[in-house]
Amino acid sequence: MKEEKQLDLVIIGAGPAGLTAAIYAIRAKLNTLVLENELVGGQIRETYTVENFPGFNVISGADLADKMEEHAASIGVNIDQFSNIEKIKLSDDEKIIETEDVIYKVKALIIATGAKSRRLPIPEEEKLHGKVIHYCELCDGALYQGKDLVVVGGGNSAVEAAIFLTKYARNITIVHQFDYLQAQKYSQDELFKHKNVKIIWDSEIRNIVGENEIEKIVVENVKTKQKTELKADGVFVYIGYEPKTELFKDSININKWGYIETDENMETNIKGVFAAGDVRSKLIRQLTTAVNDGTVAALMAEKYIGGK
Amino acid sequence: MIKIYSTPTCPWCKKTKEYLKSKNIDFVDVNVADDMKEREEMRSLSKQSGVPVINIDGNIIVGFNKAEIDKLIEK
Repeated sequence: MKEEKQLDLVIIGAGPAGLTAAIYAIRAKLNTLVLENELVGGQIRETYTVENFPGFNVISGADLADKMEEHAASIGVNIDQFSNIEKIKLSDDEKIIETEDVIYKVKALIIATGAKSRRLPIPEEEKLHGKVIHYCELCDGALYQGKDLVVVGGGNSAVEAAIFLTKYARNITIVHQFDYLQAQKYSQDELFKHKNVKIIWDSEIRNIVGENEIEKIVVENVKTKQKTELKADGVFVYIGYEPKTELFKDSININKWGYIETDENMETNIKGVFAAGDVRSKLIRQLTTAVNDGTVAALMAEKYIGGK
Repeated sequence: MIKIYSTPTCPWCKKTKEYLKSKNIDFVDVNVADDMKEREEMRSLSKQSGVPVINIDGNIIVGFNKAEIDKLIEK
């Protein structure tokens, strides 16, 4: 028999949105639990440097995640890092979250599950995932000392990863689907200081040939349709994110890309269920907007619980 | 014996180690960013080069996989 617990608030996800919500919730004296089955700190935990969070000119993603985690822990935020949610039942009147060991009955819920990296859409991805295709430069970059790497993508994550990987790699080739980088100009300037980085514009990877090592990478120019071949030892991929809404898609309104729809107070179609951060349908997804969402969601959850 | 092949900056390696600590399980941690011998051992055992790799009495788990770890440590 699973243990049953009554709480004011459960927050699913301990990224910047979830941790901010938790800090506000604890200060509002809500009996709160944060559930996180991946990394406390969320995507910033896997980010090399953060240079656009007020108060820090430059801070490593891991250090900022540590600071947020420490801040939350110091005021009594309780984070369960190792439980998985098995079932969820949500309605205006009842919110039940069931992990392997516990059934939580809560007054309000904040969904801050965020987003995960999109996989490289090629037939060989599954076979070569972890072998030569990687998504975490902080994890696997050091294994490519003196080697040649390909970075896929042109947004902030791709450019920041490429900059980090210059510490190890001999040469880096960025393969990007457009003829410009979307990354912030400041990061681009930093990238272009490195002479061993070149960019293949308007192009996408179609195939990676090889079993345990890369024999060749087939790249297609999306404008001319011309295919060329590349040699490298590893490929790091940063082609955007997809929301983690699998658990909620039956009960909560989700847009056609999988993001949760909310009103401006972060409330979903279910009363007392809020969404915050990258998982929410919106135009701009930044650390600062995640923190904003977390703040609003927690304060509105407090209001909701108080009014019940 | 449990051995974790990790790199110092890898957050999933940290989480894996924290999980084992939370279960009071001893393990040996090797840094494959520096130790070439251990890196080659990890590559040959796991047939890949992503970290963390967890070696539980010869059973190889790639990445933090709680269910797999639980299954093997309960044996």
